[in-house]
Amino acid sequence: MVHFPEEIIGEILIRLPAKSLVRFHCVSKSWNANLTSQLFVKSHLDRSLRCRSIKLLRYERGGFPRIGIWSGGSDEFCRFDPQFQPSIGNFQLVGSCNGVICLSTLSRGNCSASDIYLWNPSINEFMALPQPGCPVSAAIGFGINPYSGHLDDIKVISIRNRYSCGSEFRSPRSSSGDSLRGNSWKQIETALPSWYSYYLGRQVMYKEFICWCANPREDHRSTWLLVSFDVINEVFTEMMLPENIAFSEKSITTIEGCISVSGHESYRIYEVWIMKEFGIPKSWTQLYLIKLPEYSPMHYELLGSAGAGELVFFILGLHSQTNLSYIGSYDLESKQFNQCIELDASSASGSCLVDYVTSLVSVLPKYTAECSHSVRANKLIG
Amino acid sequence: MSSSSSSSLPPCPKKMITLKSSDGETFQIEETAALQSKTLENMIDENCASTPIPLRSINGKILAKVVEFCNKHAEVGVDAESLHAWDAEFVNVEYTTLFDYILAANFLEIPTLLDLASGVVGDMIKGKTPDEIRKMFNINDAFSPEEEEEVRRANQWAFE
Repeated sequence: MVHFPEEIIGEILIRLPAKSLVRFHCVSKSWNANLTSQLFVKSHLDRSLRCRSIKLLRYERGGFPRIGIWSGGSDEFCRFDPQFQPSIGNFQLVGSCNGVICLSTLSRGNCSASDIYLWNPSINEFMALPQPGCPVSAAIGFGINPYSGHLDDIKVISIRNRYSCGSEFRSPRSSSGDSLRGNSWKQIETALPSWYSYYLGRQVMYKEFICWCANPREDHRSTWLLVSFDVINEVFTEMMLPENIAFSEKSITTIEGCISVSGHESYRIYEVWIMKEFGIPKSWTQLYLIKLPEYSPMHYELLGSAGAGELVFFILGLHSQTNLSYIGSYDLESKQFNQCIELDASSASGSCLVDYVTSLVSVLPKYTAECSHSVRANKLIG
Repeated sequence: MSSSSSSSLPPCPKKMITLKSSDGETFQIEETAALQSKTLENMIDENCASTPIPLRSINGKILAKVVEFCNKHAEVGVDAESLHAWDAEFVNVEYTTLFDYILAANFLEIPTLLDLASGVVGDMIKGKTPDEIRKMFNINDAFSPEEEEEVRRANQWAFE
């Protein structure tokens, strides 16, 4: 039999499910080295991004938060719950990038408990981060430096309410040279430009920016702002929202590759805007205008776009007799809402829709083999 | 050159190039079909395709199939469904032959063939055990049993 060039084996392997690839670590030394190499992990991720990008939905049902793959209808909706840690309890899905999902137990009412997890479901790896150096009170942000050359150059920031905002967790990768400096928290010097009275809410990642849509405390009216954190330069920036969007509540997502904000007026008119050029407030463009029938006892919050012509909403009944909430999709062509998943009546917030790809990006610290083994062992028990 | 009498001329003869396999067989292929191969396209662009092109890593049996594949994929007016069925039949062969297709498609840089054959091999091997993979790919740098056990234990979930 002919010798098989490595790049050809790579061509075949890149098409395999992550689980098969993990199993094939055992095949040989060269396969093990190849499958865990940055080059292969990157090629596999690039292919995943081209072919298998999916949306994950975090929602609450049956008293527990859950994560499912959004596939448009409830019939095909399958569960994707974190099973590594039965005690994880009520978690928030902070974000997802390069196949790595960040979960936190931070909730609006309980800021003292802020366990943070990094999790790659495709390769069944998770890591509980050490406790942040300061109490988290405004938000946890999760991002990956897209330009560092390392796919696992993860940064997690925990933000305190005001001036001294937060510490930052760096993955082992981000401190090249001295790997022990990574995998730990450090205080960052930059402050949030304004005092935000509320929990910053859902984050969205756009390139190297972690973004929130929030309302500074100084202004009690309705001047919401787009707040971004640059994971490379570690600075916060505030940007104006569309000038003539004067709504009281806003939600943030990405649509068509742009940052998008949406809001409502009197629960009747919903506007969806995108910032065509990031950082340029003049580039805000209205994408959709959704007018509901005369009276609707429901509140709609845009969670994101689920592909061509479909928006996904969190829908909440506004009156006690209609105190239901559910996840629904809106068909832009037929202008119809479809009720897809009924939620717990109490799940007022915390639903979110994030982009996800399968990847082989490891979340385990590379420099301590013993530690990584013990994490894996835990996982099997879980 | 005059174009006034072009209607009476026979149709322009199709430009053919000749490929020569490792075992000396020669194959004629239309230039338009050959352009699916980036390697051949480069040779045509550089005017190196006027004499038979020797392909020392591809034998006659495989080269015949590769030429057949390129001809089929250069045909005009084939609908996607029937081409898909044709492709499925084309790769309905032993895995060793698929490996040869992949090697040939890689050498000649034919992305459609590379994608097709790699995908089929991928489907074939995704459920296999490491031992089956070693046999299939003729691998001889296996771990020692102790090392293998350790790697396996660290990834036990993938075997369940």
